[in-house]
Amino acid sequence: MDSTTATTLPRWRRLRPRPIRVAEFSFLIFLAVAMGLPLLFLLTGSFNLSAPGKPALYGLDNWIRAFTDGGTLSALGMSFLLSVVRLVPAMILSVLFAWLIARTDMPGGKFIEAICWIAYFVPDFPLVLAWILLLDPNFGVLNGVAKSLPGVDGAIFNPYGFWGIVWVHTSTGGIWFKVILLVPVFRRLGATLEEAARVAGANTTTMLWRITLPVLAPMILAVSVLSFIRGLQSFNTELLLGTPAGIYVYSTKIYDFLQREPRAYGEATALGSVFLLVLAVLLFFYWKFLRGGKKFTVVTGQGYSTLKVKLGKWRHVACAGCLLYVAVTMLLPLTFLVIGSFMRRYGFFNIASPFTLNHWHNMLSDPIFLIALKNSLIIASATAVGGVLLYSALAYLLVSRRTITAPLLESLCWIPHVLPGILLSLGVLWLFLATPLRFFLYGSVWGIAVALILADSPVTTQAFKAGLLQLGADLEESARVSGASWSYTYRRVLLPLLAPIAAAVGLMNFGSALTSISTPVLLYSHQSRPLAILLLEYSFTGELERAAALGLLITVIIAVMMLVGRKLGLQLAGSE
Amino acid sequence: MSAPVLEFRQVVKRFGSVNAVDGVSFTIERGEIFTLLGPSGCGKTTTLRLVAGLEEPDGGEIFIAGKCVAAPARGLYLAPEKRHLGMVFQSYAIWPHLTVFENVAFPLRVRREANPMVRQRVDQALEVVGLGGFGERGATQLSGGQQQRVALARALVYQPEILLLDEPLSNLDAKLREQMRVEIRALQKKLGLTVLYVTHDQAEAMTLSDRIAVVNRGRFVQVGTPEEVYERPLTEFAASFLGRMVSFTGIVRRNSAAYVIEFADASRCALGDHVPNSCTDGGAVQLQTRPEDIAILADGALESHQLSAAVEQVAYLGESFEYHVCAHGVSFVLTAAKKHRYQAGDKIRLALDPARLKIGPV
Amino acid sequence: MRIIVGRNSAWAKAVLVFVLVFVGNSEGRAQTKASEKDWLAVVEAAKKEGKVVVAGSPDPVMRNEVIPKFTARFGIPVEFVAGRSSQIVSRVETERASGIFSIDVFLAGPDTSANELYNDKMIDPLKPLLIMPEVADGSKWKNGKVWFADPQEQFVVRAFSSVATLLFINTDHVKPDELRGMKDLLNPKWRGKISTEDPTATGAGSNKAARFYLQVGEEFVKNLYIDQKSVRTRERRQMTDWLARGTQPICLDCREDDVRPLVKDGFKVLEIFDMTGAAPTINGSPWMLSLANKAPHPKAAQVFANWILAKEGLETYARGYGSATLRTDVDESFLNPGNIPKKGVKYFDDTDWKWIVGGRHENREKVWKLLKAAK
Repeated sequence: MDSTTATTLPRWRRLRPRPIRVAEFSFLIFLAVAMGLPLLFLLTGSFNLSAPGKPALYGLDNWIRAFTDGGTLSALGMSFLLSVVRLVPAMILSVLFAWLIARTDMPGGKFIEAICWIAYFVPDFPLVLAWILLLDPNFGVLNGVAKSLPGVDGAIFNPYGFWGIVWVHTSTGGIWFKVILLVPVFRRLGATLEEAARVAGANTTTMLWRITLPVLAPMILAVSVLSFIRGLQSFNTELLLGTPAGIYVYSTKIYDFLQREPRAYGEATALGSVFLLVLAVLLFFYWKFLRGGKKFTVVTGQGYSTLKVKLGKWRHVACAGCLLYVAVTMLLPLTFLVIGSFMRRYGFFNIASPFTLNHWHNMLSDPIFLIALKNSLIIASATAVGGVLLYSALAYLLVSRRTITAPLLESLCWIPHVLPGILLSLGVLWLFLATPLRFFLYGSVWGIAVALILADSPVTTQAFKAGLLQLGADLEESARVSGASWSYTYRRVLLPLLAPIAAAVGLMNFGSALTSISTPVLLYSHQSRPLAILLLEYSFTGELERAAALGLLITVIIAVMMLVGRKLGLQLAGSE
Repeated sequence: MSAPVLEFRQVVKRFGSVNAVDGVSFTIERGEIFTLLGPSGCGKTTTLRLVAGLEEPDGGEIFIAGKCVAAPARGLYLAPEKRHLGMVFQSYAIWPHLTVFENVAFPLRVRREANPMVRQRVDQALEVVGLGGFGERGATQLSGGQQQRVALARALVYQPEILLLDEPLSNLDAKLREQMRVEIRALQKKLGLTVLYVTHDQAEAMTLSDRIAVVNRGRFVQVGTPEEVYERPLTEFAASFLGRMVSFTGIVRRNSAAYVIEFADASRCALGDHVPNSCTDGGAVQLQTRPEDIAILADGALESHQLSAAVEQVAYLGESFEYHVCAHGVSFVLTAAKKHRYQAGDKIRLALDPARLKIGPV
Repeated sequence: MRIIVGRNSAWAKAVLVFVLVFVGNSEGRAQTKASEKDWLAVVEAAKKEGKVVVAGSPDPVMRNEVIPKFTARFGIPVEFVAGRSSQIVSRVETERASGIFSIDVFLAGPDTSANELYNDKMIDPLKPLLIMPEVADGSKWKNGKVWFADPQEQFVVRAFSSVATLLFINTDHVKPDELRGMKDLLNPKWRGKISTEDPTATGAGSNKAARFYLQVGEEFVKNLYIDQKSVRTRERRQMTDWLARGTQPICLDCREDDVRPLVKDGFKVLEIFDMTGAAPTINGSPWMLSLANKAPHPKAAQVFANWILAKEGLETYARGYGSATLRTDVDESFLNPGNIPKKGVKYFDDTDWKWIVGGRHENREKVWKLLKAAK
């Protein structure tokens, strides 16, 4: 009797829950709940025509209104144009930067990398204002300098307009984000591949073009997709520089719908769904391109070497070029920002006693400040650690090629990147309130941390995926055959090998957690207000100087964390 | 009777629509070196990974030391870390963030061995592979051969049930490869190891193995001792993959009691009476032989099974000559002693060894 | 009663009025006396609730002065949820849909108060709760009573009525004489010299454009915003800086509290309230007061609402923000005299309930149509 039942188990019983399936489906459920549900909620809401609190009435009106609203389509066109025009040179530059930093003997590479890290986290709003002070046709400092040159008549720079926006982006979003993501990947590239190309007779350019770039294509592609979508959503610069010149972008349209009274979240979601479409298209090509992605498994234990390309006399030229770029696009406006935080009125040098310590003093003595600082540090640390643990495991699953739902998992974890921040925030708010955890999550620092971890999912997952793809499976499999359980392998082999990437990604999450405004804006409470919300309140009420001071302080915190984090990361990696 | 160390029963592994391992059954006895030999993509590495637990079979059953470790029909699957195996990867998979000592110690640490024990066993293992005193080196500071030894030491350090070797020598230079081959064999004898060895190099397979499985398209074409497999290949694939094979085709002619084969150019070669019944008079026939069983006939010598041929190219190997020969439209390479020397373009006669000739209908 | 009225309506009405007035009055007086005690009881109950949660705009005066004063007075800490009202409301609505009620007091703009809080029934009647003697006392209010702006006169208190700024000019670049009437703004001399908050978005810019559309007409709006190439921005600091530097010396939508520091720093900036061709206008900035229904701390909310409408609360706010209150006992000497409504002048009320819920939207839509067509 017993033996019969044992041999004729029902089919579902025979599908024994193997750990990897369990993990896969746990992630699937988690992502579906955490990323899919908010989206579903927003989309459903966008078809709901009745006022909040009233019985739902469904129809297409919101969508029709959103897309027939004057200027929507031209704004969409402008957004695409801006995003593409910005992306191409920025990608070329950042790949070049990353390669110079990671793969060559260019002096000062570490320093330039550190600058990129700091630059990425300088808040963009005061930075754009700094550019206005530099470039304004009427009072811009650089125009003043230019006018004194012979043969120059009138202002030669004008930040208000298409090219002004493109230029200022090189300084705010710019290449920093991309370099940060690409450098660790370049570091992991097996030197033998490049060396083989050299031996085969390729010069540096050919090698880069034919070997390095194709091998790193998945990550470069991922970074491009991330940046492109980020570019579509970019907002502050366009608002400050585009509006006076009559340039409207898509994100401004979404913002408008969100600010309307009564609020038009339905229309905003309808417009935001275009990003989903863009993402779907990009992901399709991404997957197509990466099919059979095992060919990108290039770094195994054997080729693990960090020999660097010798640039010869060009190394100093390269260094000087990088430094010049950094000086012009970051140091210049940053100096203005620092000065601005000490000015009674940002950018006004001609008033009586223009300099003051008051903004710093006011900020530091604001009783809310210390609480917000503490909240921010807790939130950012939790976000960094949580993000690293969660998404390294997710990336592992995606790379392992044993999952049966990889495209679904991957698509889900991209969602937070395409939803405009405030919509994501609304979705997450709804999610929190709908779960039994709400008393723990809603309004607490942990809730904000969870939301930020969700928001970090695409960038973090992609970074880990790239790292894992290049590590190769042998290093892990040999540990398994040696008798190590998966978790032991993960801790003792994978994480240490990924430590540089983990440190970088953790730090990045830490930084974005400190600076993110749109994610916590609907989730914070009086007790859990982070620094970024304080910054928002300062700029909301026009206290620009205090906002500049706070922005700088946040940047300093990130810079300190960066030094600590890098040291820790390298220690974990057990190298250098 | 003790159970075989490893047993496959009708194991199937699919990748998409391809059967990478297609209903394979075999056993390995304790203390033998069993080699999977085949061209790349034939499923030999997949078979190895199925043993290791790095892949899960889609059908059949796998037993290690009598214990079932994978049986998808019963929902059974044992994780790799629970199988007590040692494995050397083709890439060696030396962990770059650990020292040589810690690399080798890893399997012991996983098993929570006490520190003095770890030290003793690791030192011993390093000694065995000839890396005594290298313990504190960083793993990335080693040469390829040294990394290979570290990988071996790591696989041996806790006396696994089976040692799995995945083309471990393919990344070494020829001389080192030969040396390691001998060392592995010696080590295996000394430690009484059971080894499952994967290679595409027939010389390696021949010299190392107790038994060889010739693998093609996910199936075991033939299993046997090196001699059996070489001397009595069951299929053309087995024959051509292990060493070279020359084959001629022609028409069978019955000539009173004896048979001859008539080639396209009307020349003939006697076949004696070794012709199987399946070859009918006037039917197409194929002669197969290994080149080393073909001798170049000295001038004037006569042989019943002889062919005329022409020398196309000559290579001097030091210890012998290598002749590229063409006979009846078939080109092949013969190695010959140095006492006779032929030039390119010379007409020669070749003698076939009737005992080692395989004759069959086309 | 109806029957009596039907028989002899004049007489009956007189009696009725007398009775009502008498009863009302005596009731009123009794209430005033009783309310002293009631008020103290409410304050005691409020202290037991431990805190009050107020939602509003993050004005510095609120955080730096109003809240500390309130807490010093009653020992009740204030949790201030500050932000854009659209964000606060979406959050509160989502909370409420899940049965969470976190806010006690709303200090919201007229738009939010009328179109969201009132319309979506998120607030409780406030009238019966205003029992603090100096608030309940009608003589302390310019209108003779607390001004409830909503149609039911129960829910939304308007505490300010201040003459609205028409525009600011930098007198280094624009002489006040050059701008006497609205049509002077269309002088080609000011082409590209006028800044406005982006009138194509909701906010001060489109509100003012809607007002111009109503008061001055469609042609003027088209001339001003399009032909004059008025420079648009979304960032209030940008307009203020342009005003100070004189790059755009005429600013339609600068905020008074942003401009005040400029004046202190010696910039020649002049606030203009009145020009011929546009009706003088008042508004209820910066906020209107309402109490959330199902409030977690109802008594504390009541105390806060009473106090913020009393002399101390309102004066603190008015001083920090620069608006004229509706109280009679608030010191107005620190205000720009132009802010204080003059007796006998008929003002257009930019915070009028009907205008907020209807007229302004209609006019704004017309403005948007106009601006988009021109593009």
